[in-house]
Amino acid sequence: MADDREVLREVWEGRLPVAFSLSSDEVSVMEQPEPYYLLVPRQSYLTLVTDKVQKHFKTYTDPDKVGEVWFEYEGQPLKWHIPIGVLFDLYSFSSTLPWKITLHFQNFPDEELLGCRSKEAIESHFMACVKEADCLKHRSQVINGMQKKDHKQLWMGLQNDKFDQFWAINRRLMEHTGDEPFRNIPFRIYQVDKSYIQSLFRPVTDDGEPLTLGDLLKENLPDIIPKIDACVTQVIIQGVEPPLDTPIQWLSEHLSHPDNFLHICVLHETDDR
Amino acid sequence: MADGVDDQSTPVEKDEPQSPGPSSPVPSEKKKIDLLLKAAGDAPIMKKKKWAVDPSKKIGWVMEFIRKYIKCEPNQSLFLYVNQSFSPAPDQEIGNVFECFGSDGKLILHYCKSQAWG
Amino acid sequence: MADAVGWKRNLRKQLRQRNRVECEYFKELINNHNKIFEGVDSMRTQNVALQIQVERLKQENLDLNLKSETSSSGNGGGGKASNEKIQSLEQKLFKLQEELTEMHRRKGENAQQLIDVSHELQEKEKLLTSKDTKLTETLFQLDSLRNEMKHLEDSIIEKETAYQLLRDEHQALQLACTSAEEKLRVAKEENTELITRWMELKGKQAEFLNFDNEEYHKKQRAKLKQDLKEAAETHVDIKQPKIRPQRSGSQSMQICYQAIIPTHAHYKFDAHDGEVNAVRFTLSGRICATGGADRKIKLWEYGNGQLILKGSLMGSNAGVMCVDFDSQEHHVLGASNDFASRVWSIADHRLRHTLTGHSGKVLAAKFFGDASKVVSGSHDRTLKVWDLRSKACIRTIFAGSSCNDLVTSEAAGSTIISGHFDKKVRFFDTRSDTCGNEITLQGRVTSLDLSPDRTMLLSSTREDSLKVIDLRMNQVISTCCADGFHVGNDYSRAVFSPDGQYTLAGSQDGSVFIWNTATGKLETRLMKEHHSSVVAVAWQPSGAMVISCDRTKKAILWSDI
Repeated sequence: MADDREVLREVWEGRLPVAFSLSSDEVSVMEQPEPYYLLVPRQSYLTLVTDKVQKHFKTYTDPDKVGEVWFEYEGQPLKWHIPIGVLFDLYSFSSTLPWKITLHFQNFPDEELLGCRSKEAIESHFMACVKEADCLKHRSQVINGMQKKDHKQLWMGLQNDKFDQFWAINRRLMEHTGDEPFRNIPFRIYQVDKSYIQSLFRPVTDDGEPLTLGDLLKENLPDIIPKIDACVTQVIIQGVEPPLDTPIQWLSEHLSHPDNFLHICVLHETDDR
Repeated sequence: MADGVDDQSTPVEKDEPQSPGPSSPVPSEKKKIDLLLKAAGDAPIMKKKKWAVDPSKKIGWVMEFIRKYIKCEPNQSLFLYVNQSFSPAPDQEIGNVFECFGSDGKLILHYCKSQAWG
Repeated sequence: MADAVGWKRNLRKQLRQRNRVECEYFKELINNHNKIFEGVDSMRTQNVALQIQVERLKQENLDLNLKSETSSSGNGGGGKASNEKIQSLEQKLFKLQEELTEMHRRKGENAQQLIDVSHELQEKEKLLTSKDTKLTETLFQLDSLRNEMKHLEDSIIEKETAYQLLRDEHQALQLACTSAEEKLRVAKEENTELITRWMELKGKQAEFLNFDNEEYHKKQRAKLKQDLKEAAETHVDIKQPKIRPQRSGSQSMQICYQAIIPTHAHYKFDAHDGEVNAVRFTLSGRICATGGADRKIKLWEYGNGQLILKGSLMGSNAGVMCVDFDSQEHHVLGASNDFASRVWSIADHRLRHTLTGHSGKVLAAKFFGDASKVVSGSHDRTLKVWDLRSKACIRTIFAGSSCNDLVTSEAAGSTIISGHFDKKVRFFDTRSDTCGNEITLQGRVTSLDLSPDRTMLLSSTREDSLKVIDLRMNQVISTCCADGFHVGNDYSRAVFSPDGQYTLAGSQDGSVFIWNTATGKLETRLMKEHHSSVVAVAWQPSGAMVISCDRTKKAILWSDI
């Protein structure tokens, strides 16, 4: 069990080196400002960890035109409400580090991105995800049994990057009593240029045999296994490629993001790669 | 989702040899989903509660629809709840939500103008 | 076990690898970068601060330079001479400066004075303007007060004239009043005089009337004696309807030998506004009277096949329930719902007598005796006999039940026969105080009629039949009834034909029925003319025509033509 906790810590410790730069269209001073380098937690959200970056770049742009901040990678607007690690794995898994993200203060793409006016918006989104996940896992019984301050502690743990603080509460959400697994695995499968897939998936067969990551993928993307075998498709969770025989219950307990969802990125090899 | 996959399994597999690229179920002629919209708290009720909706529509689209229907100003807040417990993400597809939380062939969504649950 | 944890080991390895590649490689670098960034930032702010300091120092330097220049310019020449010169110059300068200060001082004083003066001036001006405004205000007030005064004066004058006018009027009115009072006094005197005269005349008239009555009685008695004598002498059996000897004086009496059963509505007319409660012909058949709920009695004259209105007799305060003529056809009698009976003269349509005393509606009234008496039957369960000469009720008979109709029969010895609400027909003899006889029928009695030969009495009852009673035997000898015949009211009337052969009555449904008196067989039913209950009927004494009246204004004359 100790090494399982080690896994949790390794997952939590995941950081990404990011080089933020201001969109050149929006620079209002003579020279292009230098990029701002930052190590951002994979588990966190872009708008939650970039206060300093935003403050830095605001001095280089026309203050009259400053609107809501948004991020973009190679022309792809990045959704703040998806954990940073998932965004990286989905859009730039095999690109060279540091990850180059462009910052915008103008022309917010309402069509593609949700507005994020405050930290409360992030918090309520995060809590909604946790609740949805618990709804799938325990029919909301665990999350409803918690107190308001427990919810707050979860959020503060994530916001302040405190592993112990977070897991003191999250442990209860990830528990399964005895041999009884989760009712359903809260997961989302992302593919580039598609909406994500979310469906009901029980972690064991009717006979009680544990099911694996491979079973889950087969169920949701029937033609994926041969593609993985042919190395044209990669399945990435938390920046790693878990073996397909990994039990899905274990994966959910250990490799889920703080929002309690198992975010699975399915990358298809394209011609230019 | 399982049904949908079964329906489309044949064309997908046929395509595969030609284009090994991403080929997921085509959301062409999917059955519409019955949506039941219920008011909670102080929100005005809708005359028509039951709506058949394309499963590929997003939750955000439903929220905009409700806003328009009950004449909720953009500066007023509107909350949508599944299972009376959590708010679905606005970019979530209705099909997904129905798949996970629908019952009796329909998806029940509660809406209100002040935070009702959690 | 090892197999089972293969995936786990793999995963841990991958995670470690991930963290190494993504994080540890960059950790130091980025930390350093951040430090440098912060360093640069702090440097930048420091730089700005320093630049500001430099600017300030530069400014200070410039100032110092300027100062030193001015001070150094004086240090041009050398030597004592120049020193002395300088001293004298300095003294001069000092003097001049003193002068200058003096001037300045004076100038200042002057300026101060100037300022003080101008201040004063300003104050004065202010005072002046305030005074001015006050003045204009006062003037304005004065003006308005004057106006007001004028107004008040005007109104006083107006009031005075009005007062004068009123006083004049008052005087005139007082004069008029005194003259009117005078007139009133004169009129009163006249009135008393007239009353005394009238009383005298009245007394005289009464005397005369008494005398007349006595004469008349004497004559009557003589005639009666004569008649009795004649009757004793001759044994003539007269079959035709008897004519009462008392009524021999009546004008052009029509004698009917054979009544004709009418078949058609011959003439229809609206007799009254509302119910027509009573109808009756004179013995001559010339005049017909109707009484209605419109409080009038109307007199109609027959001619050219129709009835022509001769006059309306007013005076009744409620609906008229019964009408009767005296045998001389001088008077008409009406019984009214206003508890009174009234007598009018036919010739001039004037109200002659009002007989009050009943405490209920009067439903029937008949002339009686030689038309100097009237008997009336009322809802107050009494019958009253009135003497028209003394205009007094001379007898009250307590019948015991509401009287709906009555007939008088001189032939039967001044008998009054009354029909009552308690289903009884009662017989009273006016000469004795005793109640003679009574016959009980099956229903409330609504009307009574005597046959021309006075031997039969026709009574109509609410059990929808007419009973013919033989007065000699006091027995019902025949009953007239028919399908559809319903007696509609407590005062629905039925009559004999002038020859006594038929009986006639109206029904609730508006039809008029005629039966054979002897057999009780229905002779005819006259239908579809009246649209409401038929209340009263009468057979014209010549026997040729029948009149019927209903509850909605209508009266119809029926004949066989």
